[in-house]
Amino acid sequence: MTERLKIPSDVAEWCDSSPWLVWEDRGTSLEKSVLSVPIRHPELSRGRDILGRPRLIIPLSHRHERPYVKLDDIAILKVPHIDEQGKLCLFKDEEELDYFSRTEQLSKILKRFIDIFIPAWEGGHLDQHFYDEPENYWHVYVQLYPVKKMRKRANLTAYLLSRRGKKSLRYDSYYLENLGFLCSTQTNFKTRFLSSIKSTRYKCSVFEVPIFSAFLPSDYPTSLDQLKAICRAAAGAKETQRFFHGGKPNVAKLVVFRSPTCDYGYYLPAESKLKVINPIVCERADPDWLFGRYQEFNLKSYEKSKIALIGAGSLGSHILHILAHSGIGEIHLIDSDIFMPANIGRHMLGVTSLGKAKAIQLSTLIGRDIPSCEIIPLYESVQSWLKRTDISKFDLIVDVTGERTVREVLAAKRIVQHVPLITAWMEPYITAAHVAIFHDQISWHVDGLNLWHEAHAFTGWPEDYLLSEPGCSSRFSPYTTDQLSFAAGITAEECLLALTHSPMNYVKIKSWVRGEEYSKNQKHAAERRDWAILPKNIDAAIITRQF
Amino acid sequence: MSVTKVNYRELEKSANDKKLITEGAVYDSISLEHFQPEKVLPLLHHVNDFISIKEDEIEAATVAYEDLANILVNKLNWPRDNIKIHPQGSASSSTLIRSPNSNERFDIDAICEIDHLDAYKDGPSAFFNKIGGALDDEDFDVEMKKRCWRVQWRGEGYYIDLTPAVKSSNISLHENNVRYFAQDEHYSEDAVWVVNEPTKQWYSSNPRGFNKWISDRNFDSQFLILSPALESLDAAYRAEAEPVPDQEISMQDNLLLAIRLFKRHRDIKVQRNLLSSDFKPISVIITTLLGQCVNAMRGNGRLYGSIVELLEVLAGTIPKLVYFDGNTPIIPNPTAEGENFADRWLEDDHQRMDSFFEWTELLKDDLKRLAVSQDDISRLEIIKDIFGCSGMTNPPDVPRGGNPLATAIPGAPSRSVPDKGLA
Repeated sequence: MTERLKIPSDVAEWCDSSPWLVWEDRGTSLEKSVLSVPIRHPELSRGRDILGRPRLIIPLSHRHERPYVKLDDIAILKVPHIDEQGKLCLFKDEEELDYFSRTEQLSKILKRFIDIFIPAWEGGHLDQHFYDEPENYWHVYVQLYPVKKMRKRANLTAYLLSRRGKKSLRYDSYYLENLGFLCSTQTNFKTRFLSSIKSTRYKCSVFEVPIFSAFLPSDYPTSLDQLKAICRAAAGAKETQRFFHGGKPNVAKLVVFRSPTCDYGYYLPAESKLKVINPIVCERADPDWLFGRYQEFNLKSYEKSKIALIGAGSLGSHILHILAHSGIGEIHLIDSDIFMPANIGRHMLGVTSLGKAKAIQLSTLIGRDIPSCEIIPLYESVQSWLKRTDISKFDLIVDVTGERTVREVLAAKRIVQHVPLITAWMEPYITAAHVAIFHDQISWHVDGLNLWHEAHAFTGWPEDYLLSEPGCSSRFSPYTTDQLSFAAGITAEECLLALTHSPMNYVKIKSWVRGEEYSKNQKHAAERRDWAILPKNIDAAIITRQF
Repeated sequence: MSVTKVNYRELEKSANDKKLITEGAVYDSISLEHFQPEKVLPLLHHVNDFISIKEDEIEAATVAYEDLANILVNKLNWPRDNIKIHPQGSASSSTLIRSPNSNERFDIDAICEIDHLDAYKDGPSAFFNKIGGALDDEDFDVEMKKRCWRVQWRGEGYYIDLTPAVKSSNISLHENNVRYFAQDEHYSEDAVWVVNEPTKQWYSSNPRGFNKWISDRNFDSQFLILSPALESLDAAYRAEAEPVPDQEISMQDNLLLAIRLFKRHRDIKVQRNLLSSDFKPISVIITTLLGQCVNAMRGNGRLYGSIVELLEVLAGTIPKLVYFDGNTPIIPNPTAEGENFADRWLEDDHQRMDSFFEWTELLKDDLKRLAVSQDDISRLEIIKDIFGCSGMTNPPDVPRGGNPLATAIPGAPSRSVPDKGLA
């Protein structure tokens, strides 16, 4: 045999001496740059003997590529733990192999294959493992499914915009050429999702069927009759009949089986008159999955929360970004400013928004990408908005204008209409940032204290710390986006907490305070208050106080 | 509503006649030619072992009974002798089987029989809540169900559904809050009253009588197979022993084997999504129809060549034993004929009824596949497939459950800090 690939001598020696490898039958692939050596394994009983001829695959060109065992195609989806290429996954964490030399790796792989995999497979102890990663195997199945009968469409994925329910659902939806199928009964979310994706769309009818358990690959329905049998079992004969034989004839159909651990799509093209069924991949895209991935602490979802965010400046835009990405259902954004070049360096918006209203631009851009959040832009002054709005319909008002007049009009309004309020602002150079949380309290004056003054970490900033735009009276505070993100982070965190936690009978002020090392390096200095003095080696701290 | 008495011998006869006409001799000859009953019976018992719940798990549940009884004695101040907790349902009739989802708990039905005036003098709700209240604040979770309290210990593989009951002689039939089903005279001595919480009524019930009935029907079933080596009957399953009876059954317990295999078949079809988990046929219906079927078969003098043939005929016959009074399906409780086990079949778009007939079709097809299989290997493969026992063949040298491939790579340094999912 002529070998054009150079096999390292230690590998060759090791393989040749292994009783489990048939060295003389080795092969190489120049294109893939791998060496492949057949494995001689203990005999398997009939019915179990479907591994083909397993081979040990050893990459030769790159040291960081790991060797593996490959089974014949016949074993795919019949033996668990192999992918669509037949690669067998023998370890929970393959990266651990990187600690070892090549021959040690080969020895560990082969040992695991012969001593653990083979007996476990022969004994039938792996069969149920298909249930552990049903989604992986469904992806393999869809990938390998013969497509010849299928009208070739680039995007055959179903996006499921609602969670698995207890009952089956029949409804009309759309197939978007640029994305895939959109499945949801929640009209608002679906409408916003649809308007976010620019695409040609086709009507389709969807049947979402909750099933009891994930499928073993051997139980994937492969014919229309089997598909119907499962629908009948889960949704009843009548619903099944209505879906398959009711509705318009020229509309594609999509069946989605929703098990607790995996969703399975079957696409029935309109033109095939129900003769063809195509398995497709489903992706969960309901808000609870998007924003919490069903983590327990996030079970209290923000989908129904309604916030008014006053101020779409640098701080406001970053907070909006975080809140929308946290799954808040509705945000009213109030701002009367126009986006200017000077804003670009620290705002969420960029050049495409120049000369346009910040509130409108933000709602378009963020709303388009996060359609679960309905962002309502209000391009007007706070005063005019307050005049015509019942603020008690909100779960929370967030004021990030930093303006005294806004604080005052809000306080006046909150006397008559109760709603929790969060006010956030930053000190020069973001040497400190503060978030004040008011539940029942209205006034900034508590026990003879002016909270606005108490909140600050520094006093006595020189008059000229604000910068002026050249040749213009407009002035601005000097800070950069990296520092801004800290302020936006603690503010957004408090907003989310305020939505889920019970009201407090005090005003809480949370402050982000930088240490001496940072503040002394800024152009201007101010006097640090006692409560804000940090130990020498502490660069920043979050300090919470109650009033 | 009174339920018509069903003539099961008549129904069985007509099913048998039809079978002969429609299937004819062709199919039977195929079956007979390849039947090797002596080979199939052990395989089916092997399946039966596989689906059984381990002895030690049942042991643990048994100890739990004692604890529950002691708690009730301490909290309710009723004498120990007046409180009896014993298993009922599948746990007491040797038809308890393991769920195909290995991580799912199994339930042991228990009846808590109280024989003390204080218990029931204030009516059904007070009695039901007294028992529930006594179980509160213990080291287990308690959940109220329709007729029982579900007691669940954290980390245990089982839960106990404890049904409070009082002896039948203690409540008068003439009270206005009772729902009485006339008890079959053979089994009436064990009848009790239980509480139906949603309607706050006393319901007559007879779990022990039902067990005795199953036991008697199992005796019937031992005469249905032509066997050269029919040995003396093993009556171990009939022991009145409480705690939970041994779930092992002998080679002649044809009815018990059928009940367990059919229930397993149903569970596997649910797991494969071919039957609805909400509307699947309930165990008591499967058990009753099978019991009535073997009784009628014995009465009609039937004999079968093998267990596979018996199972196949049972699967074909039980759907025909559902009696219809007009459009109303009727499956009477054999120990209290006024009670219709199929009383919910017309609710929910008939999904329970559809599901029952769908299941018997699937079962018939599967057993037919088994009957016509021609060699040991394919027979074993079919049995493993239809009863979901792929991991059955060899005694497990790798521990069941868990993923043997998920252990760490030997010699790899341990990771004390996370290094995945960090960004």
